[in-house]
Amino acid sequence: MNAPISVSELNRYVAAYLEQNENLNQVQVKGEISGLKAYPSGHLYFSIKDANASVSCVMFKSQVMKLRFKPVDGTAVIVTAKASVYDRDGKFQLYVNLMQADGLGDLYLAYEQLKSRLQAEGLFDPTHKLPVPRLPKAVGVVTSPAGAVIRDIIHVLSRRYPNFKLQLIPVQVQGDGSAASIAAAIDRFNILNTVDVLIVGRGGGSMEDLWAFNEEVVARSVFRSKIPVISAVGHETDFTICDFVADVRAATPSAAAELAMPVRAEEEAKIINIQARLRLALQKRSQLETQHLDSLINRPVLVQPLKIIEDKQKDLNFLLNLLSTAALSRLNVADRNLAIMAGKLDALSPLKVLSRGYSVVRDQTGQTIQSTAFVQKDDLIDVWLSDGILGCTVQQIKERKF
Amino acid sequence: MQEAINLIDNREQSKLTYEQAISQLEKIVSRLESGDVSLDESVKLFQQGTELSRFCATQLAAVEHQISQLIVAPDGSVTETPFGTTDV
Repeated sequence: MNAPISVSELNRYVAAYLEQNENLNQVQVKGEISGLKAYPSGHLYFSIKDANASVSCVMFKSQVMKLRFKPVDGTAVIVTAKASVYDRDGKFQLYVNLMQADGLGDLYLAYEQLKSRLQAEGLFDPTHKLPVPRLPKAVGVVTSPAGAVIRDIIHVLSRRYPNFKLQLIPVQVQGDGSAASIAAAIDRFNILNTVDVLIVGRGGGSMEDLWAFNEEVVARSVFRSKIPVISAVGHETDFTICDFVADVRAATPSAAAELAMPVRAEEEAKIINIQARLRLALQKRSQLETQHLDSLINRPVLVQPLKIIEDKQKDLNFLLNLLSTAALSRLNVADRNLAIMAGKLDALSPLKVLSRGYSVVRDQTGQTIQSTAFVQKDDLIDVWLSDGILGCTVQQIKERKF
Repeated sequence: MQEAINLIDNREQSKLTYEQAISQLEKIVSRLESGDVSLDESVKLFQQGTELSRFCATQLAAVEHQISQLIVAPDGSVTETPFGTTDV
């Protein structure tokens, strides 16, 4: 038994003991992250656990910055670490140098994480998609100047639209700084505003090779772009974050070129066809109008314009005849009636009575005297005969009943 | 349709895109083909259609063939140089 030592000495001793063990100096441990805390200093504190046990871990800022994915509780990881004791409290812990996602790998995890984050933020929403113009005056391309991509695009465009205009901003499509250079090129095209559509892409490769197109900085610049972006990254089976944010995703660079420019000959044929249809439609319309006009011209009213007047004249004459016939016969009847009436009247005329020898006696006022009662002796009376008047004086009144 | 006519009447062809012109053109043709417009309007539509189709044809020819690359200097200045297709 040695002499007692201090706690500090013990902890330092255990730490030194552990650190000289090569197995613990560079140990790989797999498990699930739990109790993760990110400190303002940038260091991460967490535990890694399996079903039965757990161990404390610390990861310093310089290592954390190299992480491609964001560790969260529950993430299955493999850490490469040095096992030691923190001499302040004698706590056994792992000092993590490297953290990799267990299972599908770091890149896949980072990809899934960014994808779900940007999706939640709405960067993939169809409402943000810009339409690709049918006839761009110029096509912008963001890719490597040396790859097959630019060659394929130029080849396809030459075939479709011989007088196409293309501007390339050459970028690095993989390796350090590639994402930043791609993003900067997209932004640059937006500042220059010399093209109507952008093709952003690279050829096929591993997930590592395509990685720049899965980085947030590229996603953000594609989303920001006021110029529609066609994304053509990797092969048909590769889907990058850039593809999701882009306005259109093309399976290959050649397909992107096809989406960017129409076939000039087809467009010209379409216009010629439309012009022919315009002419034909107008021709048909005017033919229809001519037919209508012809049918109008052939109407009887225009062919024999006087016939209608002649017909009316005939009608009128007929009616006039009817009228005069009716009027004449009516006059004849009236004539006969008049003669009969005149005969009757003649028979009743008082003059006729006077001519038969009768006379009418009137007093001086012109009143016909019908009775002896109305006269006195010496009255002056007029006796009317058929051919004159006798002025008489009443000599004598003799009453007599007849 | 009314919109299409207005656009042409206002001589705003310079602002018209190729696809707008084509889609107006297609509307004009089907309107004219339907035959339910007056003769006067048919003639008007025909004239508009002819103008639009000429505009479209001009647009097709107006694209100027050029392949260039833009080199962005660290100070942000941009140099445009022809991009050779023979070496790619």
